[in-house]
Amino acid sequence: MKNRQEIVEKIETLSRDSDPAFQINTNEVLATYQHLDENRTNITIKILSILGVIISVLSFLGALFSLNLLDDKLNLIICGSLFLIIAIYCIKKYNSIIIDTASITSYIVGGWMLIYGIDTDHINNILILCLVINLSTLAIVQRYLISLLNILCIIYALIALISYNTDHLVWIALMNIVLMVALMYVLMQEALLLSKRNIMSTIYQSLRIALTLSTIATTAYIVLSHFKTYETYDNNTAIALYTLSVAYSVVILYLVRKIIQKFDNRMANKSILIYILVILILVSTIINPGISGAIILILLCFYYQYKFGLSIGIIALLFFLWHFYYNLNFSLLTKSIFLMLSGFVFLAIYYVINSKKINNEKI
Amino acid sequence: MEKIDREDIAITSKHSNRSRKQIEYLLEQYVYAKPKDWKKFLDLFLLVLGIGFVVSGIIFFFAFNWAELNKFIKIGVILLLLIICITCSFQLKIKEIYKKMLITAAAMLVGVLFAVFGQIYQTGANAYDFFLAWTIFITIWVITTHFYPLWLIYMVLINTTIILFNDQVQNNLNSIALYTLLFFLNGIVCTALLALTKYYKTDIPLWFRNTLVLTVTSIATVGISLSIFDSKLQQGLLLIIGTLAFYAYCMKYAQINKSTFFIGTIGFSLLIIVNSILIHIFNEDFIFFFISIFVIITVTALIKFLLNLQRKWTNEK
Repeated sequence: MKNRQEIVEKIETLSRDSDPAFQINTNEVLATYQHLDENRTNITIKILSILGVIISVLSFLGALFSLNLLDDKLNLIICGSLFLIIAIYCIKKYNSIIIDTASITSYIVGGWMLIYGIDTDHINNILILCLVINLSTLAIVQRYLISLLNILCIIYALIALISYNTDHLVWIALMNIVLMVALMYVLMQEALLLSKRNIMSTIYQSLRIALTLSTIATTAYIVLSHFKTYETYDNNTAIALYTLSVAYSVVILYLVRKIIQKFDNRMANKSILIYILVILILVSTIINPGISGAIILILLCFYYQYKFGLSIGIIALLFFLWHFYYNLNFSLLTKSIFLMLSGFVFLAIYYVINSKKINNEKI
Repeated sequence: MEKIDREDIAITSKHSNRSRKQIEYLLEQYVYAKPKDWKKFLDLFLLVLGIGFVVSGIIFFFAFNWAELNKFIKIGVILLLLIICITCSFQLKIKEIYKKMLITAAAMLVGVLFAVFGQIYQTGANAYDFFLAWTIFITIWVITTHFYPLWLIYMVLINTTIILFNDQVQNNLNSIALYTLLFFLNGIVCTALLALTKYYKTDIPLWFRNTLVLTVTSIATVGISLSIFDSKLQQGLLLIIGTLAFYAYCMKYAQINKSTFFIGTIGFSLLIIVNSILIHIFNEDFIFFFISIFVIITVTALIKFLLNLQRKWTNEK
């Protein structure tokens, strides 16, 4: 446990080299640490909490279904709103993980009942209602888990709206690019967002997770829908796929440039060679933006040391690689040669990077 | 003092007037990846991907030509790989962990060997034989190598052999009896392992211990729920007694070793069993309302209990 002494030491270390006008409210800091300690959850508690929410939501909704209580729409709307209000009130008043399970269950059940009770055939209206509920909740209360839920619902309500109102997959690809750019902005401008000290800094962590998950999930959706309609050769999906690929390739080149800059002058001479090799890899994955997307996630998250994003990136890379080779309509011989060549390109980059080190050490 | 991390910078920035430049400087210094980290990461990343791709390419090449290969070459190649793995692990002067990984690879190759043998000579689709042979032949390696991933593979193989034996050869055991057998098999291994840590002070990796406990608890939970739903409580009596004894031992172990995982898993398992009893007794639909509220209350109480325990334990440190 971080005792008072340790925390004060940390504050002093961090306050070194500050501006002369730097002031810090030590009591508030100590209070925050105290509160964090009381609510320190390990993975067991988190998983237990999520499982509890899922089981109780499902059984409550199951009971509603089987008892035919879903027919009385006005009742549903009133009860749903009540559940929502109670949930938001509890979360706002008691800032504690213990109340969270019950509150989030109440929130999900209430929201679902309210939306189901409105009973309209226009899916657009349902999605807009969902959007409104989540935006208002986000404005009223900002806590880790509930804000994560809200942001995810907002993103997916928007994607569902786009997907329902247009036939073309390319709009979702554009939305995906927006999400990726937003993720890059959130990771790169961490200092800016933290310094603003407003609602954005409070929901920063939830925003980061939500954007990571939704970017990779939307990419997976586009890749999988393309390959599902591969036989019918739907022109729609191909355009979406290539748009995404090109956008991701540009992002990777930008990131490679940023990384090379970090190594100062040592890599400057060989940087053109590295760019060419990277472009070679990107060309080979042009029909699967999932691979380039996963690589972007891995490089970004390692740069900004975001461990959760890094693990998601690695799992996504493995999944997309498997999917890519599984679906390739070439013979096993072609696939094997393809694989070996890609392997050699990776090893080539490895030797290019390391040869400079050896050269430098000799000098 | 512990290392300074992102959380510290975020909290201190929130309650101060730190400028954006200063926050960026602190993040660069304490959090973001440095060139040294990048070198290590890129080396690992490129090497793993490069070697992985090349090896996959070679495997795909073999797969392409598999049908045309002579049967002696097929078995010969696998035997050759097996011999190389074992020889390397004994002769090469490499780190201990790499030797153990080589023996694990050799254990997997034994399985591949038997599978290819079965495919060439069309010995029939009796998977039970295959798993039994595989298990027996790697027993000595597993015991002498003392490598926990290999132990895990071995446990999976033993369980699979028993399940397939019951399925394909002798259908003497009904499902509850099967679950009881599996429970006692894995439970005894688990208890022996936990007792070993206490009396011989050996260190078991946490992931292995937790996986084993999770498996035993799942088997017990499914078995008891099955006996409740089928109203065959008498047949499940042995399982219930065994489960209670195992849970009691685990709770005692958890208290001494300060592990929240055990308590969380056992608590959740008991929750599911009680829910099964409730659903079975009241065969009405309204019981789901009650279950919903019951789950929330129990999970909340469990989380509160775990948080208090955790706080008490970190205070004692």
